[in-house]
Amino acid sequence: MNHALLRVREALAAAARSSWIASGSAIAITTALWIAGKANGVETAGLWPMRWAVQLSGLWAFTLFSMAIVAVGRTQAMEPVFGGFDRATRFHRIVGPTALALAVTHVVLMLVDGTRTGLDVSRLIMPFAPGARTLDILATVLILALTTLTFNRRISHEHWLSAHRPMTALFLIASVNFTLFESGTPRGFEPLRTWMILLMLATGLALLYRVFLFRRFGSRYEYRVQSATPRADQTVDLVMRPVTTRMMYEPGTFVFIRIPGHGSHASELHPFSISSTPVDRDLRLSIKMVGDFTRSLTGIEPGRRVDVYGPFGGFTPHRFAQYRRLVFIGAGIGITPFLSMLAFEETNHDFRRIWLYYVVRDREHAPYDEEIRSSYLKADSFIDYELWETATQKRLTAQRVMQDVAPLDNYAVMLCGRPEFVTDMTRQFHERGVPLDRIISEELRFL
Amino acid sequence: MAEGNVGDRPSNAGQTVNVTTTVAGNVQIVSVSGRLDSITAESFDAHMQPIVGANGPRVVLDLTHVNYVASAGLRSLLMLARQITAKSGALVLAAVQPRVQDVFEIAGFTTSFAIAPTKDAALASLQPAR
Repeated sequence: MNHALLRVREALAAAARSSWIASGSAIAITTALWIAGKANGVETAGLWPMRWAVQLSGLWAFTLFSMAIVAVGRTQAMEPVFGGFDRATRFHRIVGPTALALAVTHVVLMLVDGTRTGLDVSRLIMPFAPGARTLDILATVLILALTTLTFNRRISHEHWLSAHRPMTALFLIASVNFTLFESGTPRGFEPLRTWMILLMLATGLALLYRVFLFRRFGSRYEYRVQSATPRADQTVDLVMRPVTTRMMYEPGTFVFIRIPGHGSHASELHPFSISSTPVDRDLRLSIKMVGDFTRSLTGIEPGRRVDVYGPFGGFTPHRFAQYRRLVFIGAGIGITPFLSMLAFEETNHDFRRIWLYYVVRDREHAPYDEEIRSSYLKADSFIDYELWETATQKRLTAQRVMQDVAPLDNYAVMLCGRPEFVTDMTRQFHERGVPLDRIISEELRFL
Repeated sequence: MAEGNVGDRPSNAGQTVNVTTTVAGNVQIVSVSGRLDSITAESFDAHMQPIVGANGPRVVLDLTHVNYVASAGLRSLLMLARQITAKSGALVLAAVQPRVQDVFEIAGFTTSFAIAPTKDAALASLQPAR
């Protein structure tokens, strides 16, 4: 099965989740209101053979764009809808490009339809041409350019985020213009226009909260740095102590941190997985040094204030209490959430059977191997641990894991690592009969 | 008869494990009560050492009063079973409580042990056939 097909199947498996029900409902409402508008005689001329598709693709793109932006608004209130912020981000990564594809389809269909009907298509693609929808054209071109930029994997986290903000603003400007001022079904049919205004308001509020209000009103805790200890494999452990209120969290979740006064990075928010147990006073983040900010952490002095926002995410075994047998697979720095889970298991009396794999190139790149070995036997849960060294053992496969677990079945798999690793392992497990709803994954990506 | 109070420290639930050994014919009946976890497992192992040291030990482990078995306890039981088998002996677990049975099932160890519903049934299973 190729990766694209797997993605589709993942999406279908996820369809039962509330986020997908919400987006499906939004699309259904948009479509129903468009049909109702046509039934009321709004802009019905020349719908066949193409204009209906032009209009619907545009409206669907608008609806999905709104859902994609609301998903990543960083409001904890929305986490139950999406099953955690990490899943909301994955939802955004599927729905955002889908909306973009629909927007491109909308433009292409509009050009084809315009050519077919003898319309001057320069009005559709040339800004400032007589009669052209200049604002829409410019917004579309800029959105496409910024989107292309975000697919460049070489850009930094901050630049990646910076490209998203104007994209959302442009989308909103174009939407307001189209809904309120341009002729079309939304303007001619009040219920559809009201629905679109509601979606725009939700999108605008999500953007406002994420960009401006989150730092001030997000769930924030003040911590102070206790230590920043470099580990093997370009990793640093940042240990922090709460100043007033201690953040309670589930093992496997993550936080955003901001370090006021930390040079040019003072205003930046960065997401990291928690690697400590919630029963400890101190909060530990295990961080791979891959950029300017993360590399600067080794030099951070004890006592430095850190604003911790969170916790976020649904990658926690507590959310999957029905699964009494779990396979944990952490690749590289993807071991981090499992360190938190493992540390928590030492004080947890909820017996489970767990198989833990720490996938690394070799022992030199396994900074947490010793920590795991010193703790996993202390857990109430029965844990088998294996350090998997790809340099000598080659790639870890689902087949190998399933051989270890056999003859037991009825287990769930939790995966964390780079997207390519997670996708490949998901595919392997699924091909060997593990249902997708039993494969729980977290990809290490920008949020 | 040997008797031992295993687990000087309270477990996480504030409990200890008590181990009492009685002999019925050529079978040793080891009655355990409390929790078998990371705190008590080591002492439990120490208590069992003289029993598994003998040749061909025939042991009934009465778990009527064991309310919880954690991973360390499971590992102790597995080790015990292996040691007894290596000495050409036999081990039967008796009266496994539902919560402990649940742990065995989750861990996949129900087939790793001979399990009898009661102490008498376990004892009977170890008596030579007439």
